[in-house]
Amino acid sequence: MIWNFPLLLEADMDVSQGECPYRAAVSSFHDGELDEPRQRELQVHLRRCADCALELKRLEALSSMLDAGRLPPLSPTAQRRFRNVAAFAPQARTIRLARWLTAAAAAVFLTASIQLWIHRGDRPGGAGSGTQTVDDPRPHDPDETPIADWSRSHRTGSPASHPSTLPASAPAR
Amino acid sequence: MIRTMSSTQPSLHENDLALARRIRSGDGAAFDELVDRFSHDLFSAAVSLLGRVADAEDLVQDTLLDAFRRIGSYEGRASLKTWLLRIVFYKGTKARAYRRIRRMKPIDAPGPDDDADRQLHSPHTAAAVESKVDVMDMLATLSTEHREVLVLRELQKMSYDEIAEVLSLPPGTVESRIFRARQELKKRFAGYLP
Repeated sequence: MIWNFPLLLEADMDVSQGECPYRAAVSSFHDGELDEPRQRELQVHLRRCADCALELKRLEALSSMLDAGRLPPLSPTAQRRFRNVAAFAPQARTIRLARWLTAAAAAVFLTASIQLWIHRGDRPGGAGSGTQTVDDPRPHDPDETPIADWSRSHRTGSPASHPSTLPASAPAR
Repeated sequence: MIRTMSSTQPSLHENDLALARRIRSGDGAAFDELVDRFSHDLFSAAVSLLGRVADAEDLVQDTLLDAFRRIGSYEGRASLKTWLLRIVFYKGTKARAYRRIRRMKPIDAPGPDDDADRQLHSPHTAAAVESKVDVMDMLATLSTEHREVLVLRELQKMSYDEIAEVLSLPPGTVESRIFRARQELKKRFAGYLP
């Protein structure tokens, strides 16, 4: 076999039915896509193979049908619209930038919200930081401990830690 | 065997590159030139793919907008036409997929915009070949992948290498798809061929 069209031969040609092995190359020949030696070789073959010659005529007829066929024309209105694309492109860019900024702002807000929610327990008085629990029925007095310390310090005569007590080094008047 | 692609560095498309540079520098007339040069080709490819004029116009407009934004990435290795058609085919594929999803929603009421897709599975070709051939009807009888290669080959007159570049396929696959697409058309239009 002179021709080497593995894809076409394997997929499409039924050699067992005696189809000419050159026939798969006729399509590429019709498109002028064969290299020079093969183009010449097929030309010679076409003179003596009626099947391939008919195949070429059919392909030429198909191409003529497609060439002569009607496609809807491009309207002048559409053409004008296309010319204006460049004028609208900066607007489109602005809209895209605005969308991007909105998305970025939303992401920052969301991240900040999550961070605040996670770290709220670390703050004094924040959730989970107090000593009082829900099950503890006693009323909570925030000054309870300092007062106890203050009275204890007065009984023992040690320097007071209560804020109302004058420091030992303060001048007496 | 098709001609093998040249192993040497492909030459740059200097004229197209110059046009791209002018567009990049803000020359409004340059973009008009691009529209005038390519919009007919882009539209005929788009309408052959999508089957509806309104959809095709939207696709071309979207393509030109995208091209204007990305013109800085054009390096002249392919022609501007190839570069633009790549965008058309990429966006056209997405548009078709979107339309298929939309079509699946109403079970009992097919939309009026699905004529071209429905014709993909209707082998009626008599209407297509009457006094004049309706290319859209002919192409609508083919599957998407066969239609794509034939649109680029028969309507855009592109080489196999250019088609391969537009569709991101190996040239050998382009060759076999064109062959199969023609076999398909030959079967459907056998009565009108020698």
